[in-house]
Amino acid sequence: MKPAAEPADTIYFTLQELGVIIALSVLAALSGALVPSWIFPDTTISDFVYSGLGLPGPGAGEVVFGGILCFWLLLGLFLVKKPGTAFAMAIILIAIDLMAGSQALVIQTLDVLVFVALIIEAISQIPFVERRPWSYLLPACLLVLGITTLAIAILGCATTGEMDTAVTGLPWSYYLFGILGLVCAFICCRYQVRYLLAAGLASMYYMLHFWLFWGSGFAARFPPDPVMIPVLFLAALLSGVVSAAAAYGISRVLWYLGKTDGSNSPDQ
Amino acid sequence: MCAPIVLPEAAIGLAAAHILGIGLIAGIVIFNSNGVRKGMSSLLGISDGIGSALDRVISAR
Repeated sequence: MKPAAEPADTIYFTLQELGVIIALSVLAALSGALVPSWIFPDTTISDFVYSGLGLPGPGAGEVVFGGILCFWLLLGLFLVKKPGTAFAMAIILIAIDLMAGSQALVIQTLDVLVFVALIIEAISQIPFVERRPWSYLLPACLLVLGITTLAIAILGCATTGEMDTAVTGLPWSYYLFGILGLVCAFICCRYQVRYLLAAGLASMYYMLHFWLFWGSGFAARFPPDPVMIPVLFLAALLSGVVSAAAAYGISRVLWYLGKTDGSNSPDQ
Repeated sequence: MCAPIVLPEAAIGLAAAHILGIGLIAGIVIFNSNGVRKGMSSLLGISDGIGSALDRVISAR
């Protein structure tokens, strides 16, 4: 009997998969650059998160950018279903940013894409995170951060903006994010999907990376008021969880639409 | 006789960024070959997980 062909003679991603990876990377680059200015034509992301949402800073804009990045990386992972997809997408995103982005010469801001992709890759490939006690990690984080955010709002310590200006009126965004955190904690307790944890932690790392490495020196952009750290982490975690849920939902819809073609389940 | 061509710093930076970007995409294409990656793995004495248990985690779900 003739032995099976050696994998050394093959390629890892097929041409079709490479096409999907490149297409999703281009969409990620376009959405990261164009969608915010399309949704908020008269303002910037900073104005939206600080004046609109009333979040503290710095780094609250990551709620938008981190969510978009996690969404596309996870969607690529769901559609291609091969380890290394998110990493390859991050490399192509960096290449696109270098060749077409306005931040072409700021290498410092590009490395976070690789780290976020690696976190998503790593956690998505660890099956035991869906078993106890690890399955309670995400709900516990959401619960603790949600309660802390609500407590900050109730105690009247809410601030907004990069300079941590005290909120004069009702800090509705604190209540909104806090309650959303508790609701998501309950949902994540019921549906223990490791992709939600992967995107949530990756999004939190994105914010931490911003605080530590994107300023003029190490930790130059760290929040001046440490009390605001749980609020910002909760916003980042929710951004990742919601984007992962959206990517998972879209992959399910695509699987359902292509089911008649004999495609595999997105979970397979 | 050659006339020296002096590029402004921005042009050098832009060219470097484009070269790096094309190099990254070329790297993805080159490392997409299992043969190249297998050779690199044996050269470095590490396994990249292709065909391993980790490789099958997503497809096993």
